[in-house]
Amino acid sequence: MFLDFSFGIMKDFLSLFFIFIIIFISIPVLIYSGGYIGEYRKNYSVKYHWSMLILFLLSMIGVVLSSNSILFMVFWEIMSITSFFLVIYEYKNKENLKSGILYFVMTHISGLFLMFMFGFIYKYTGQTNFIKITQMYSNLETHKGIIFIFALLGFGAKAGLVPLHPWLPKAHPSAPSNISALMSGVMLKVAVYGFIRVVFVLLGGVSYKYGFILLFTGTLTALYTIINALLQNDIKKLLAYSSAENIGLIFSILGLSIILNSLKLYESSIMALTAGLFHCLNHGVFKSLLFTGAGSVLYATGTKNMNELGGLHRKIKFTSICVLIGTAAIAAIPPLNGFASESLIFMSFIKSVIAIKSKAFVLMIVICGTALALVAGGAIYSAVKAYGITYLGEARSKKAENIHRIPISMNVGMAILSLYSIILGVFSPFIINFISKYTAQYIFIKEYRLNFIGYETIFISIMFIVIITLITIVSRILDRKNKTETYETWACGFNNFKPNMQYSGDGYSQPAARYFGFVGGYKKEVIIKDTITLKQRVHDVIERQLYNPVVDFITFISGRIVKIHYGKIQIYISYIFITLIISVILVLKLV
Amino acid sequence: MIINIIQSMILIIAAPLFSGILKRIKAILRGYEGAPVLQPYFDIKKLLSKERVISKSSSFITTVGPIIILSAAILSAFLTPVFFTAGNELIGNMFILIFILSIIKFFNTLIGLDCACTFGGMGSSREMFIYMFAEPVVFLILAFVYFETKSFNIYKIAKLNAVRTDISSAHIVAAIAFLIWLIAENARMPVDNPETHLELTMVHEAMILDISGRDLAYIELASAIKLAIFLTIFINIFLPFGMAVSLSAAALIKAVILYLIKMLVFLLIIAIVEISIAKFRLFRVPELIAASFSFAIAAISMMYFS
Repeated sequence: MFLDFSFGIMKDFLSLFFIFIIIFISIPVLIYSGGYIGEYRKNYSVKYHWSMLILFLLSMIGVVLSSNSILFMVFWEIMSITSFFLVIYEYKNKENLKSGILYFVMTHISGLFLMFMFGFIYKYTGQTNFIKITQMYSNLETHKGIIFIFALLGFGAKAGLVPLHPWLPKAHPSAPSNISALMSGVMLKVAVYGFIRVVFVLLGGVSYKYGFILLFTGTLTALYTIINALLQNDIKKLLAYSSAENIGLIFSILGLSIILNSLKLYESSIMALTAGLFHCLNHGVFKSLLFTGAGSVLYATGTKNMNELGGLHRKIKFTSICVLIGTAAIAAIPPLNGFASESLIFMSFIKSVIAIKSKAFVLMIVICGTALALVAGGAIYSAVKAYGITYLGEARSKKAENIHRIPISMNVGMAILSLYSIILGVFSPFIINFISKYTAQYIFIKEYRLNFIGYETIFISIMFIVIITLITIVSRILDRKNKTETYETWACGFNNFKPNMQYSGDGYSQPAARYFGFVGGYKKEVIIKDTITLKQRVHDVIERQLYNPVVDFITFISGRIVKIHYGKIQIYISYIFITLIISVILVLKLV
Repeated sequence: MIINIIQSMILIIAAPLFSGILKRIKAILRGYEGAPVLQPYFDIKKLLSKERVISKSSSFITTVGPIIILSAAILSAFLTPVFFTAGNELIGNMFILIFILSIIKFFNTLIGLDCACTFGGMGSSREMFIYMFAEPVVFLILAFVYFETKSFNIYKIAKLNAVRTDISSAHIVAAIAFLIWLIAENARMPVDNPETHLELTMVHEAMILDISGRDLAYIELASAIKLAIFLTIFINIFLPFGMAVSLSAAALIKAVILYLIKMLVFLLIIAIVEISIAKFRLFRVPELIAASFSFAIAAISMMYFS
């Protein structure tokens, strides 16, 4: 028995598309890193950072290119380990080590499930080569369920599906911002790639039951994480939760695609998968943009707590314009890219319902679609909160006033990402048609072309620009006649304005906290003594209820086990001796 | 093509008139004379010729925001059929239309946070809160319209519904859902009181408290256009009977008259709702939207499960 170890590379559309995502997004992020890393020169090794970063990128490309499950796993592990080392790059901060270790554990749980999954595939087909597996997936017919579950757990843990998400809001704030941008924008997409590769290509489609599992998991993830995102005050934590939300959106649309595929409604299924793939690209772009923006804020002010920020538009105007574009994209404002894929996702939800006969299916899909619409509303809420509180208004603390200048390379990186965001949005019909054509050809092996919004978005973008120009000209003419004056903000007759009179991050999301606070473990405490103090706290409910008991249990067990370590060599020798005797007895008894 | 541009221009120009009529109807129902129906035009003209006062704290959002808001409102007017539809237009995707209208909301909320004013933040936060709850209703209404007509194009939807003779009960229920959403989206009573400037109650007015001069004129005009567009969308999706589908003079005149009558009826309905209901507490607004949501769900169920 010897493994077929052909080092071929995957050259199909799916791999090429994800390679494109990786390279497309990492170029501006690398340009950004050039300036951003400068900050660490004093305390940490920059060479180490660059070498790990390059290794991380190469390993991601390796995962996507490998045509063999062994190779896939090798690159997968390299990707996990290099990203772990990048997350704990600021190792002098103990908190970062803690969250890095959580990430390390989660990523190994993911790896373990993936090994099981590939093991099962090997058991039933005798193949490790992806192309050969696809040729004999009839052997897998009865075992698709178990493989699907392992794929969901393995790739889901890496991508951040609930309840395997708690590493995201911990690892992202700990990692340097360029790494968060890559991890959220690209690495999560590699997990999505793996999932599509296994479930759509290797298994050749699974039953609709599994599609519903995926749809519900995705919707639940999106709902849970967007509410948590809304309640955060740490910009990077907010963005991390929002990444998990987008992953939930992508997985639920993949679930819809599976359902439609198993019902033999190929056109709608291709549309859904196209929406998912396109959202992968778009989310990669705008989330990298927002994370690099958060990095610039951190670089300039040294804090990422939005309650200490505000008024940044004055000092770092260019960054704030770029981040405005990113915010508008994540809020699905046309004609930016977030709008293009989000509307495609909702359209495929609505369109799929028409074709499906079963009423129970229709009901479940409509409910999930409605929940995702609520999520889209929450996404806008949190995006406006993150942007408005951080960049607009007046500085809320000294930190936001004394600002470091931002290197030009960071601005260039962000400018390229914002440009991507606009181009991908305006020319979305071309991209959607392109993706759908090749998706149909290579994944569904059918000829089909999606011609949908027409070329409306381009036309509308041109019209929008024309109208804006006209109104700007009118405004210029009006401004020539009437003068413009600058005064203090009107504070309702109260002249002693203080920056802390502005709305804070907590205050902004308070109405939502009142309704959904229980999801984010929201607690409000008012202490009235000499002064009135208001404390608001949030925590991840799933982490506290599900993970902490497990961690406590393991700590307890290891506390017990550690007692047999006395550090005396005689004791260890006796342990070895006892083990030897027991093994000999067992061997003699059993063999 | 040309008739589409003309009808959109008419909609844009007539939008403040509809707001004026609404205010006048409310005044008459309450028993006083009220301002003339052309008052919104006078207001806009007055604001356009006034000097602009900008807050020290404000950023480029306040400079470009009003322009983008007005542009978005005008752009969406060009994507809406008013009294004529051929049904084969290349533009008019409902998703694009609704999302362009959300540009107005997006920039309004940012303007609210821009001038470092407490009320601005308050209004902005409340607006987003209401918007978040309204989003599922939008999805359901769009889904309902698609189930009924198999199209996302509003021109096509209007044409299909204009020649439809049988109106199902689901159609009426969905119309009620849309009407409640319309009230919430346009900051009317009982969600928001457009007449008051009382700090604790305002939503929409709070965000633009520090805006003045031509900026305020733009935003006021944009809200008037938005209300007119929402009512037009409502009329053309749910009650498009009598809409001109061919370019004959008789059909066009009939269509314009019918459109005006329908518009006046709905302005009257909104006026009656506004004078007979007190403004809700903010935390009761989700209940209202939940009612709209239930109507929308009921409409889809009636369509699918009967």
